[in-house]
Amino acid sequence: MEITYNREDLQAHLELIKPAGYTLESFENEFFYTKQEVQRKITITPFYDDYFPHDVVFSSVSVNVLFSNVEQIFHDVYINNSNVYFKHFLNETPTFSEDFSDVLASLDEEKLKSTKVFDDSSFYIVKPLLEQMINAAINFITQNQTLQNFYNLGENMNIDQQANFYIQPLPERKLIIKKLLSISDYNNYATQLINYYTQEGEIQDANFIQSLKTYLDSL
Amino acid sequence: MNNICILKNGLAVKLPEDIFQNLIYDIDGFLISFEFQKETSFVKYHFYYSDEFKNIRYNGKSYVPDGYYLEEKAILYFAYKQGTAFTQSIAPTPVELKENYCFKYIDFENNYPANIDDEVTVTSINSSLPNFIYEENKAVFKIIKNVDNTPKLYYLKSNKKIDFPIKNEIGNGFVSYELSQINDFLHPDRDYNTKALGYFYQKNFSERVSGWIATTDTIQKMDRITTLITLRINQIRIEIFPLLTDYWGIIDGVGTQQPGFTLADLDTNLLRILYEIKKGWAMYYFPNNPSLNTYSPILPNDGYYPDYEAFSKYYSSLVNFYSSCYRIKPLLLNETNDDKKLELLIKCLGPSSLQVIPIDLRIDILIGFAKNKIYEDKENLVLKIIESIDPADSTYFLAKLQSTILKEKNENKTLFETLYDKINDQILWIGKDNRKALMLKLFNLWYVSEFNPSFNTNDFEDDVTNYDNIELGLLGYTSNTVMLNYNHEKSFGFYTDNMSFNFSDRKIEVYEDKQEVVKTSPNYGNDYQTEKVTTVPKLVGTYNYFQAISLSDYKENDVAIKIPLVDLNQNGQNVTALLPLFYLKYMDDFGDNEDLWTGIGLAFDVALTFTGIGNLSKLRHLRHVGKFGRAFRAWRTGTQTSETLFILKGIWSSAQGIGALLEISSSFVSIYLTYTTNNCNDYRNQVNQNINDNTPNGQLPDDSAQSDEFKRCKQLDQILFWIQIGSLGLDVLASKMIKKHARKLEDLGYPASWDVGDFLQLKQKFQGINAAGLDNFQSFINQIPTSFRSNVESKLLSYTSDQRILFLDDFMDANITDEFWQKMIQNGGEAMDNWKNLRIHNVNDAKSLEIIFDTTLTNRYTQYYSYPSLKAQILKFDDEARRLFMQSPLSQVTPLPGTGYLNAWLKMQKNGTLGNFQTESFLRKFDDFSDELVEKAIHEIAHSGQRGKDVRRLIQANPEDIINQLKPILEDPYRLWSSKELFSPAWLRWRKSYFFKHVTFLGRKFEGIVSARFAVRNSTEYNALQNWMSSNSIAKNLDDYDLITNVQLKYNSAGDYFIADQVFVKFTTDQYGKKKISDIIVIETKLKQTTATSLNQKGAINAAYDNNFSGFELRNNNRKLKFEKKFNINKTNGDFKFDGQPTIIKASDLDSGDEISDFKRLTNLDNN
Repeated sequence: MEITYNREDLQAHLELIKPAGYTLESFENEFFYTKQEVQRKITITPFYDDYFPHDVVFSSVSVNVLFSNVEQIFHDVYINNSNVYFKHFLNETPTFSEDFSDVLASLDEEKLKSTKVFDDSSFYIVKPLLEQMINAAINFITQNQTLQNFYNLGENMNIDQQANFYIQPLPERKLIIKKLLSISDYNNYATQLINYYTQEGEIQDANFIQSLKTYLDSL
Repeated sequence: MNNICILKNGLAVKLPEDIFQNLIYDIDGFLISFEFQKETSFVKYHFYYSDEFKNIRYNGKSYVPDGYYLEEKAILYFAYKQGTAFTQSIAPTPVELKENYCFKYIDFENNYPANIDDEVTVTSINSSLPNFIYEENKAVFKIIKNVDNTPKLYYLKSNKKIDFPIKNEIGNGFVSYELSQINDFLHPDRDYNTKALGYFYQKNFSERVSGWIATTDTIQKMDRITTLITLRINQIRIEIFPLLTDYWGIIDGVGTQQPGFTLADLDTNLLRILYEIKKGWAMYYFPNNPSLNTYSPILPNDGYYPDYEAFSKYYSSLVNFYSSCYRIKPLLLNETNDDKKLELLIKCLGPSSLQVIPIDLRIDILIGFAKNKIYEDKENLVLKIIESIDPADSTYFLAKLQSTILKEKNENKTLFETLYDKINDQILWIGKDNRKALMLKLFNLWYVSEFNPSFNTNDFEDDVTNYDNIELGLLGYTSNTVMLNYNHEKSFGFYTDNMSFNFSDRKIEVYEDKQEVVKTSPNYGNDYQTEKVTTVPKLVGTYNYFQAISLSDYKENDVAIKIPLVDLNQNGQNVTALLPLFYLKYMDDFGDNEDLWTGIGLAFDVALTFTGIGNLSKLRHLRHVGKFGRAFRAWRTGTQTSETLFILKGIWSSAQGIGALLEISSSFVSIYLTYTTNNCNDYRNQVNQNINDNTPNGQLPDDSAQSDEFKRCKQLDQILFWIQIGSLGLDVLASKMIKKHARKLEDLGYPASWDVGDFLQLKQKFQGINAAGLDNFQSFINQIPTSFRSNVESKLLSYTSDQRILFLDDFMDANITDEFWQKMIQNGGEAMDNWKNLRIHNVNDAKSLEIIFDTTLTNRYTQYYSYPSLKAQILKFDDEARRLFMQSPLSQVTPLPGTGYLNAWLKMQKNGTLGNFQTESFLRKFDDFSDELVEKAIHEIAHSGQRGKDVRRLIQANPEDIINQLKPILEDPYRLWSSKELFSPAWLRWRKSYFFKHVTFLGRKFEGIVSARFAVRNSTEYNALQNWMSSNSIAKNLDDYDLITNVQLKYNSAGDYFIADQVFVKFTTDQYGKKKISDIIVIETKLKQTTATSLNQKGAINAAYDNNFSGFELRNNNRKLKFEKKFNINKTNGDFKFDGQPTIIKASDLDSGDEISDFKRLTNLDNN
């Protein structure tokens, strides 16, 4: 008897732990749960390496939050300055990202990463762990509803942590948010960024931020 | 001293060494064989399972339990169960076996029990693990009793192994236990011999496995059996080789091409053979040495499908070799005769490798066997040796079989006869198939030998004067054909009824049963009877074993029986059915027993006979048989009839019209006989003088100095002979010979007496024969019935002369009737023009009446044959398949250059899957398939079980799927990894099933291991990579990098991508939190250094080294970093785009999939 574990098998399993109100979507072999809210789009992503047709190994669950107003501005500028090293997809590229693998006890994390999921019973080994992380993600986005909430969370982090929390490029996004939230150092921040990237010779960034500032100022 | 051991039922016993010797254990550690002192000698007992005693004579049941049986008796029992050579009085009955010849467990228990605390050592081996790993269990424990004080049975029912303690627990007798996994004995760093085994495994298995179409299960089986073979070879190398010769230094010196060593140093056959064996086992393969870097795998390989049977057989032969050598270890050690040792070796060689032994030596080996009883193992050797004879040596070999004389019990016998007899006597009980196999193998050899006239182009040359010397003829005779009138419609009964064959002084005597009136005593039956009719066998001739027998008018489809013709079709011509006399004898001797002929409605009309042309005097008996015999008797009694004896035929034509002209009738023969009887006394006297019972091989009288009358008599005699032959059926040859002699007769001039009375008929007949000029075109035309003649003639005259000759050739053997000519000329000779049209297109099927009488069909042929590629393809079909195709609706389609559909049609037609798929819309989907791809696709379609069912259902529903679903995956199963969106969900089950075979768990295992270990800083693998980079001038510190795994990277604007197993990514974060990729190191894990990079990997590497490299871009949606968990790489945001120079490294494994053995940096140079 040949046992295979394929995309379709994984999909069936992920349906089992889908949080209420979310839709299971996929790109290629990757699945994620999405939920469109009024001002933001939530994506909860279970991370795994797939070794179809053999098995899948989960590693964590992350949540991405897309604030429409932030990304709309980003995109408006991006489409006129698309000659940059990064990409932007409207209503796809998120604003923030947070990982929840740290909610697992270290033994559980080990278990998650060492379990090859290839059938129902192996999936049931990791199911509670995945659910634990998904629940943490749901709690996180429930507790942090507004852009202000997220901005505050970021400001409490050091810059390396922020680099992970913000979807890159961070400075551009943060500039938009500062403007939208009417943060007082918006102008100063913009000037610092433009000077810095000009000095560093990173002209793409410097130009993009300049265009962004012009656009934001015109709002 | 005593041996403590465990019996097959788990009973522990203590066997005193003085009465139990030569204990042999199986790999599980059980005692399976021993010799036991009975009176003054030792007798051997062996363990047998009950199943082994199943016996057809007892309704396939076994009435004998598992146990230790006297080997000699058990073998007799086995023999009896298989054949008829033994009577029940010789073979033991099941009851006797059980009661008299079994060493019962209870006797062991009562007489040789192991005592409590006796210490036993058990060694068992688990060699079923793949990849050269085997485990050796060594357990030492003290004997205990069950709680009820009965002996403990050390037997585990679950796995049928010895139940020994592996750790110390109270009261379990544990002393020690070792489990050693032996997995490094093939490590390349060890000495060259063991390394060679690694290559043996690699070449015979590993390098083939990716090309196999097989389930994972099968591949694992293949892996295991190859491993077992390799292990066994190693055992032989270590334990058996030293027994065989002391000159390994010389053999290895030659094998490794040491200075001063040449092949001539291998001066005995044994040494040469040992050298060949080692070579075959890759022991002289050194890939890095330019003069020793070639090795051809010796295990058979059938393209896509691994041949487990063949591997398994080879393994068995190795085991046999090993165990038989092992058993005779003392003999081998003491044996100084290389030939005896050689004999042992032959057992483990394949027929093709036997060809290293010179043919005379092989014959000597056969002689050696023939001098003794030929037991089972040797009988296989006989077959093997015969199989090893190259066709080029066949004549020599067969002649040797006949000319080599062995003395046995004061009787001289040929080697042939001895083998025939011994195999007959001794092999019968081993199995019928062996004798049949022997005969078939000899037949095959005969067929390609010069003894087979159909292999010779002399076309029955008339060199009668030389035929008489059979001794000379033995090696040289090529033209002799002995004819049997074979007519299945006339059932005179089986030939075995009236013919018999005996070996006699290097020949076979042929006897025919004759009815004779004999004197009887007056009191027999009733007082007045003094005579009775009795049947006595009369010798009708003595012929060579290899005399060709021709079955005239034999048609392959005539009867169910197939004479074992190797290949009747020579150069497109059907050769008359031929078989050698020895085979006829064999069928006569054993045919009934072996169901060769019986039960299949075969009837040989052997009212007739053999004629050794080389033995003309023996042919006089022909006067008494068949139609000729009737004519002869009629002549004697004056009651001649007008029965037609036979119709003289043109060599190329059997046109009916000829009959009226050249019929040889009974009345004609009467005149003929009258003349020869009255006028040829001188000649007849001289024949009788030359050829009689004392000089059966005498010559026909020399007539060069004789009168014309004498010469005429000789010609008439020969004509008479050929008339007899002709009346027996072989009319084409006879016609030719009669014509020849008729011409000589005419050259002599007819005597005046032939101008009057009956004799005038004689003269006119011969004149007619000569005038007929049978071999020219005009006479052919003249034979065409008048009503069709002018039409055919004018048509043929419009053809080129070459075409005319072709026409005669094509139809010379056809059974031409009025209907044939009628069809040929109708519609202005359309059929003839069809024939011509086909011939112009070089369609060899042109002689098929079915085709030429059907213009539509003809046109399809010519249409197809007009396209060279289609022609080449359709020529691969056999005649019938080609015709079927041409008659199928598919052939109406205008042929396109693509040939795949033809191939698909043929394959499906052959395997019976064509059915509903015989439509254009279906088959044309295969147009662009390569042969290989068609093969794979049809394999899937014809697959038994659900997988094939699914495929058939799906392609029937939507033939486009052949191109869209089936093809891409067959071309590159790995596309499944990545391009799922292309594929229909309906195909999922098949994809899974097919895919599964191609993605080995080993590769997955290795990739997983590497990913996991790289994800740990300073793990062995991590450090190995770091160190390797450092020593290869790649100045990068992995600690600065994070890791992502299983990454799809686009490498060009077309979106082509490859899958990187691991990517080390270096990020830099500036003071404002902008995080960018500053470098990447891509790792490709490959199970082997030699595993090729995939097409897309090559594309990626080339792109990365291109000046216009646009960068690697993430194609996955998200990837998680292994070290910095909080950061996701996300395809939508440009987090992952790197357009610098990536470092690409291949990490490869040894085979086992669990450790990295090597790294290699990949650059575009590797791809060019």
